[in-house]
Amino acid sequence: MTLLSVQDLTVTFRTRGGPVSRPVDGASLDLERGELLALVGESGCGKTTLALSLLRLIPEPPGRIDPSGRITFDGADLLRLSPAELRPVRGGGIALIFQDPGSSLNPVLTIGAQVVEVVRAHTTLDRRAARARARGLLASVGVGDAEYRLDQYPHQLSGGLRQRAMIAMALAGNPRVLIADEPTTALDVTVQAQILDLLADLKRRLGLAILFITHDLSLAAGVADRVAVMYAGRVVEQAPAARLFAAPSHPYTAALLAAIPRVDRPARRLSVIPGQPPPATDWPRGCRFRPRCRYAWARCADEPPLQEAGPDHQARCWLINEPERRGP
Amino acid sequence: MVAFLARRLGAAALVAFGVVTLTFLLIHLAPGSPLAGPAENPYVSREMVEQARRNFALDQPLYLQYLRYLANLARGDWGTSYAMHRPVLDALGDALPNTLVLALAALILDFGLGIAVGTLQGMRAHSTLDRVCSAVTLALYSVPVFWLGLMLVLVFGQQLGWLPVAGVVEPVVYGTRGLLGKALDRSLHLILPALTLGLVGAAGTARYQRAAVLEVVRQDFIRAARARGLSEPAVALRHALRNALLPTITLLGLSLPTLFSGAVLVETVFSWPGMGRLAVDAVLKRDYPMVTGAAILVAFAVVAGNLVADLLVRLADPRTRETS
Amino acid sequence: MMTRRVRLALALVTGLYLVAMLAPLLAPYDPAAQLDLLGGRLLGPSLAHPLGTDSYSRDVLSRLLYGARLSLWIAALAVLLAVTLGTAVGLAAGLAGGWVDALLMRGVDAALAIPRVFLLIVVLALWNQGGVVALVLVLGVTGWFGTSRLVRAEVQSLRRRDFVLAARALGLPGGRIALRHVLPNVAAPIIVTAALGVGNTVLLEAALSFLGIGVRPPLPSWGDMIEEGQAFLATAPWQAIVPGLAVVGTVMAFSLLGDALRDAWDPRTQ
Repeated sequence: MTLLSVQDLTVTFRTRGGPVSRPVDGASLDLERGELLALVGESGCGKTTLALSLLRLIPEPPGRIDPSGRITFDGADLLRLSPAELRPVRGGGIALIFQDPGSSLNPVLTIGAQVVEVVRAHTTLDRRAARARARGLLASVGVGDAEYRLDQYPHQLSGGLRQRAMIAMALAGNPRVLIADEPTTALDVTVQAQILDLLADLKRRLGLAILFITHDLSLAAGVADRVAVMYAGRVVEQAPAARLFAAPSHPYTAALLAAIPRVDRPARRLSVIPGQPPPATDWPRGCRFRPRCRYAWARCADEPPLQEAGPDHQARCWLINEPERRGP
Repeated sequence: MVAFLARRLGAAALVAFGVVTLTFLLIHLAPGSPLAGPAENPYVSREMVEQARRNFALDQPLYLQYLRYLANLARGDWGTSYAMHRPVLDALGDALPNTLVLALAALILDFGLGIAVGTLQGMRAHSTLDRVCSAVTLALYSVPVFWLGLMLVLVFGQQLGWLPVAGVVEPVVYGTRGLLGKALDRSLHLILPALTLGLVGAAGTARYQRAAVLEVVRQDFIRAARARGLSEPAVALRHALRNALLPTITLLGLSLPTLFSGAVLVETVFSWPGMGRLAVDAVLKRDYPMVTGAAILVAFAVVAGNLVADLLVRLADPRTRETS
Repeated sequence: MMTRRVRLALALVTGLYLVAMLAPLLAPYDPAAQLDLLGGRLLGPSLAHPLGTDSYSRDVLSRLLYGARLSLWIAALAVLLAVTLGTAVGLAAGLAGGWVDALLMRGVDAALAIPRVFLLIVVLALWNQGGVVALVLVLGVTGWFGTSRLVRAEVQSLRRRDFVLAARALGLPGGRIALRHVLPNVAAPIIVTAALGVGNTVLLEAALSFLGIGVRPPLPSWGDMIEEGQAFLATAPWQAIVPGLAVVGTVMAFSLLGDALRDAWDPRTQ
């Protein structure tokens, strides 16, 4: 069943005396119970903005979530809720973990204090019970010697431990959806693997739906059930992971895959996507990938809608309708 | 903690020592002898000059004079005031509590009001409230503290007649009052001077605190706290303010010299019998021992205050406790 | 650097200096002239005397203008002296390091522990010179400590930056490194400090004149005017209010300039 449904989400930012920026422009995606959906895209393509807007954490000036969009969770449109109604959802229904645990933790409070704070915000437990629960949470995310860690400060913990602590805080409200925004980018490779294992474990044990945001396609390949590719503020392709990597439909996805250096083949020149991603203040007309696409033709002057490219596989490309243009 | 205290005490002692040395150098670098005879200074008698000459060992080489000077200070012999004909330390001892009371009251007002306003401004940055407050604090910060005192005297003392404008207590009547009456009298007399000194300080503190809050609010952990479903007040107080207070506590130590500088002027305007007024009177009467004594004592007060402030910072920021 | 705020503040400050420098032309009367001791004292504002007259029947507006000239000159020169001294000491301490640095900075700590007004009182008492030159010197010589700390901190952080290491590796002499490589990078905070310092010095000079140890009569100064107005607070409050407002306006202009420059040069807004 679909836990979270995003429809036509648009987020705008006013720049200082300049044009309006639309980092998220008509994006849609669905998150099913118990699945890990990876949202993939280049740095700066709007993924983080999308994640923040799901919990309405975009600073209202200069940002603005366009009221034409809908974010449906638990039968309610999150964009229509009052701040008081929204608060229990934050952390209680949908939890968000950030890229850099170092800067996302309050440096002057102990880990324990911060976890307990979240527990008490979402439950009616008293302080002792909350502390016990905090201890349990830390243990469940793989923090050894949890009792000792409760009284430590963020700067006394390693990067991996901090990230685990943040995950524990995210779980403290018993959410059903976890949004992880580049959770491993700031960590060492070995720690990365541990955190990814932890997330997979949590998904299995707690039945969490996870929206996993990353710029690293190969990382997504390792963890995702389904993948959505984002470009120029919209989703351009989504499919089950295996299918996406085996037979990508959108040229952008194909180019991203081709750009990954392979160790199992003789070394060749790295392939590169020509051009630059367009600025969020000035999206191209028609298909937004057109200026950089090797297949582009006249029809691409009209923006393609998301179409069926296969079972449970959609993409935004006219090549679906004229597959012969793909060539050999 | 003990090691930290010991180190800070040592550093404070060094600074105190430096202050004393500095004053000694100033006295001896000044053109003319530090002991102007009766021809130059009507308050000084010949006997006093002779005694001072012996006391300060003026016929000895400079380094011996310096040692003599240090020894005298340590012994509690800070010289005799030319104008008041009393030991300097005595007179200072009488004046010090008055200055401290004024300074403390002003400090409480300064930081209490300053932090509150600054935090409010920071949390509601760029709103109309913020802009209005910024304009007000800018104006207050540019006001000469003695002029502000006069204006307050004008409004509250003369036009409205609500508050007393001179001295610590009402001269004759005070003695006749009971304990409560005495307390009330003292408090009333304290209001205007403390307000004068505190308001200007509060303006500066508010501006500083606003910047500190803005800095903190930009940081990720604030957004992360909101993402966890914490209420706005909780975010503001537990997360934003606790972090934004750190630089402001550091400001506490740094603002002490300015506070005492302002006290000099406020004491003059309100005839407050503190060290500032003592020093000003002494200057006009060329009472060198008193002037230098006051400067040294005030510097010591500043050093002590800085020590306390350092301790507070240490306590407040867990990150400073680990490293040496 | 030339943001709107900077332009505005710069215009204000320039305007102030122009008015002050043109005082001899703008002032309707001689500031020291006691015009009519019998009937012309403590008059309120009128066409002949837009700001009234003081207790010696001198025209307040003229005194205000001449006072502005004096105060602004004193402040500018004193700050120039202080900033030069502070930069020199800060550069020396920051680049030399070792015991030179330690000694200089301990000295600065000691000097900063003495509240500025007390220090000024001590120096002025001991020196007992009177005269504007002495005042400028004293204000300058007591005002460089903060700048030296600032410069030293900047220098120390710059020292570790690669371009300084590169210069030293190429064998450039220390003085040259100081002047051509380090100094331009420290310039911005120094200029901000200087702008704010002028405002602060105007306040200090007014305070000293108020106490009677700054600019001495018969030279006109705002602080002195406020002091004289103190006696007539009940009958002619105007005497004390007007010069005070002049000080507030002047200091605000410099504070605006300093703030605007600081924000314009803030690395985060670049």
